[in-house]
Amino acid sequence: MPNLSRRTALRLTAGMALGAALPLAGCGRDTNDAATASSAKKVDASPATGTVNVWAAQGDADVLGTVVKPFKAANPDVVVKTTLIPNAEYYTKLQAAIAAGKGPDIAQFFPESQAQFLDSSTLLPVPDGLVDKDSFFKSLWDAGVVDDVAYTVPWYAYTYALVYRSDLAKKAGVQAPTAWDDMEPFLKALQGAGAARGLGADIGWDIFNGQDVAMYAWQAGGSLVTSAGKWNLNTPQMVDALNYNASFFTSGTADTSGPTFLDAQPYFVSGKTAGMITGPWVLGQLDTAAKKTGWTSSHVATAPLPAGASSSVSFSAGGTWGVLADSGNADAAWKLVRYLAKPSTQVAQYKAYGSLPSVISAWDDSAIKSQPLLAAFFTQLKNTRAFPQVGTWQQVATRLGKEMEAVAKGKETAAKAAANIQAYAESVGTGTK
Amino acid sequence: MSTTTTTTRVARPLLYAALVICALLTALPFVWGVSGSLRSLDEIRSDPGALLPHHLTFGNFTRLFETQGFGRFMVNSVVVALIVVAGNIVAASAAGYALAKLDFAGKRLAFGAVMAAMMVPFSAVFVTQFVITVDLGLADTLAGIALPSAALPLSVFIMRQYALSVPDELLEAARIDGAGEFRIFFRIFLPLAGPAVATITIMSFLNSWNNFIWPLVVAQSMSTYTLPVGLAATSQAAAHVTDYGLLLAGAIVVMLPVLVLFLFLQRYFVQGVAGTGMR
Amino acid sequence: MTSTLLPRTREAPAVPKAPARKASRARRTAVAWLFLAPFALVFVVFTAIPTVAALGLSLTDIRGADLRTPFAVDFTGIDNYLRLFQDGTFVRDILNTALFVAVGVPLTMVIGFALALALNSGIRRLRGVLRTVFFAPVVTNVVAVALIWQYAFHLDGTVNKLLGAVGFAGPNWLDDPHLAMPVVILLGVWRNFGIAMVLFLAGLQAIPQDVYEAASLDGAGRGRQLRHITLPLLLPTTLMVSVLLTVFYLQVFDEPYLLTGGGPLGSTESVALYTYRQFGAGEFGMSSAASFVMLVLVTVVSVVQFRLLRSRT
Repeated sequence: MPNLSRRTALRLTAGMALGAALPLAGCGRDTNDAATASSAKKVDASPATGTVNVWAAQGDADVLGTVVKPFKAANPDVVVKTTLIPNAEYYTKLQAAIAAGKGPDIAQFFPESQAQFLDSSTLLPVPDGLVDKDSFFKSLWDAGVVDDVAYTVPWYAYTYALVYRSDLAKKAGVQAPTAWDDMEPFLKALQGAGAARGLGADIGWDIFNGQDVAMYAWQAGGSLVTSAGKWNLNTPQMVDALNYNASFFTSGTADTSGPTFLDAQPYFVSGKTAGMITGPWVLGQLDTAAKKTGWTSSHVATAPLPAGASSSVSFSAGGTWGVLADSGNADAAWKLVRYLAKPSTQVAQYKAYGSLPSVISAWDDSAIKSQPLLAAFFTQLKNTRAFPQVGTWQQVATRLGKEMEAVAKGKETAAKAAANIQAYAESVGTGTK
Repeated sequence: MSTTTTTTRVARPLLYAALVICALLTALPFVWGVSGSLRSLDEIRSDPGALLPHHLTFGNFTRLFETQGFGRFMVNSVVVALIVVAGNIVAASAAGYALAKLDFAGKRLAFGAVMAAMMVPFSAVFVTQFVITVDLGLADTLAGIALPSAALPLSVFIMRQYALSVPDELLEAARIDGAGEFRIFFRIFLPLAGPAVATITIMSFLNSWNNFIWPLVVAQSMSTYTLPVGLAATSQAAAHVTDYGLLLAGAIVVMLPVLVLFLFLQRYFVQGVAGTGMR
Repeated sequence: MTSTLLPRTREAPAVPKAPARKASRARRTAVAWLFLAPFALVFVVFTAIPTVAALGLSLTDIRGADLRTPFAVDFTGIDNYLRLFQDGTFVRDILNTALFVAVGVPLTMVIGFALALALNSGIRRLRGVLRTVFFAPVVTNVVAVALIWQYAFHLDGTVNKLLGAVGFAGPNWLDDPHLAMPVVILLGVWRNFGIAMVLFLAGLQAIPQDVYEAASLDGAGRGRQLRHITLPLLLPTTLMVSVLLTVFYLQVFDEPYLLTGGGPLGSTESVALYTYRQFGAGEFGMSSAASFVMLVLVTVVSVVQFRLLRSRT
């Protein structure tokens, strides 16, 4: 065999690669992905058996061991194995596992970003009668529905609401804003009462920021996709949303350089900021940040988000459960999911970790009802929308966050940003088959 | 060891001083890391800029060792590292030696493949690599984590370069005396290859010990997690808040074995590297 | 061990061999491949096959769940690659990576070389300690180091504290699109200059003393010696360091991922990071395509470098 140069070696490899790819040609994707969905087996009331592997992202799932104890007691022949996966790498690991056919029985998903998994080849459709879909906050349920087939069951819920220093508001004699136009005066008043900045705005400029802006676009009356499923981001409402978010910075009520995510609470507690648009988890943490029990109840108030031209809708987020199509123990898996959706389990999850129930009736439990600060979140949760259920939403939202950064820092007009994000979204498409 | 011209009397202290300053600058992040691991989380958050702890505390380390599964993660990491290092020493030594010292058909192709392999980014192959790992029945096993790294192209490269600098005469003489290739390899070449072996040991140990994404993907349960993965998965103590003190303590613990290894092997390491740079 | 440092001779040994001794090429090839077998096995199974498969998949519209039934996807040819280059963020990421390499590699090499030179100048004491300290960053855990860097360059972090002590108000480094990349580069350089140093040190030590002595006798000063003796003789080492570092830096992932997540405004996002994110979003095809673009880039740049520097020897 003649001596081959390195170049030739590489060429050979490339040739082999193409050779490997050729058989794929002519084998098309079956576009007739007919409703394999409707044949979901019904799940009965008999005890679960076998092993159920659960994968969940670190966070709310940390307490699963405790929460499923009653389930294990009622189903003595079942073994529930939970694997916690670091948040940042969660989807990567899940994708790799699914690709190799090595996934768990049940996996946690995040409704804001789960669209890429909602497919009968990845997940089993939720069996009829397993749960009552109306028992959940509507948008959370809808987040798992594609073509009238539900693939995920909601687990916990959260959304954003306004969290602010009640003591400073009292001092300034102001009430929580109910409309966009009331925001700036409200924040300025808090500053007058002693806060350095009225708002500790999100400066991550990433997907979370993008989601904020998307939410504001809704509040302004816009939508993100047309009914035909095409991106619709270059709209006056989007421009309004971008400007609204930017106005926090330009009016001086928020700072582009701080606080970063970790400093948000210390800043709030010390009065460097007096407001946050954030989720309910902070309520359980502010006492620690303030190093004083009871600080939160005497210094914090919450309110639903102020309304834009159209409404005060917020986005729906949280966690959901799905059973993988590959699962070898779907029956037990669904029984566990059903258990996790029971109001009593939802309350137990709240007590253990502070996760807000996705089941509406669970909110009637005294543990939750007795929390005045949660009322605003409950109100807000009833007024939420799900983000576009397309595989590329994550990327588009991330990009939206970056465009927001440019607008907030005065490097770009909102109109330009809206055009940019539309162009970008069109280039990545909607990922639908 | 050789020196360039001797430095003048004035220049030498200056040189020392400059070097010491550089060393201090280099060591600064370590100092901060160790100091951070000895501070409580509150202290870190309230005064991130401080170099030294206000109140020294070992709390982070105790919490680290008490972390559920810590011992398991550590053992897993050690086992994987051992497999990787052993594999690299054996496989890479043989391959590198062959590429340098033996004449055979397909040699250039083989070397080209080794070089090309070094350029393949991990992100390109880890999914298909995982599919194969699963098909081999190695998912969720320590072997599955270790095997893809058990014969690193870099190790082959190191050994080949080093072997090139070993004079042929030695080996030819043995051949003339009738010794078979394997004998020559084990009896004559390997004893001389200490420095290269040391280099390969360090490099492959490093690769294995600090590996994060691959062990994460291969493991299907927490009992298979290696140390970096296990620490990442358990260190978020409170919701949405990162436990910096714990993370830093974990990082120090993860860093120590490698540093120790290097301390012991560094003399050989430099020698080993010496053989690679010439040709 | 001075024998290891002698130049390798390429002529046949002086002792004539009996022709019968020389084993047939076939036999030698077989034996050689036996030596290569362990490596070849691991390489083919865990590198070659996955690489080829991934390349093939980059020519399809495959998604996560499809990997188990790869023949059910549509062959889309270079569609993914076209989409890739239409994505402004991908092009930007290539530029970011190019910047990282263009600045990082020379910087790493210069620092490594300078330190190697210094350590080789007859320093007796502290030599081992210094060498260890300078190499220590190489063996550190990047997650920990990135953490430390984040705090060091925080608005209220150590760096700004030191700057404040001399009267400068330090900026928020990692929040500024113009300053974040230099910090990321600094991290990369800090982590890797030890490798360059050790490699250059070895190269320097291989230069026999007599060459310098002869030059001194001829009246050549230190600067002259450096230029006309040291640097030329170090060219092979320089070549290797350069290629090695370029290959590493082109694939940079950890530093931007851990330090800035690719921000702010995507100013530090590298191609490898882009690839990773595409995969997390379920876009296998795009992810694979991006990876192969990177592979091509790495190969091309390496070969070019090799040729350029080789021709100077």
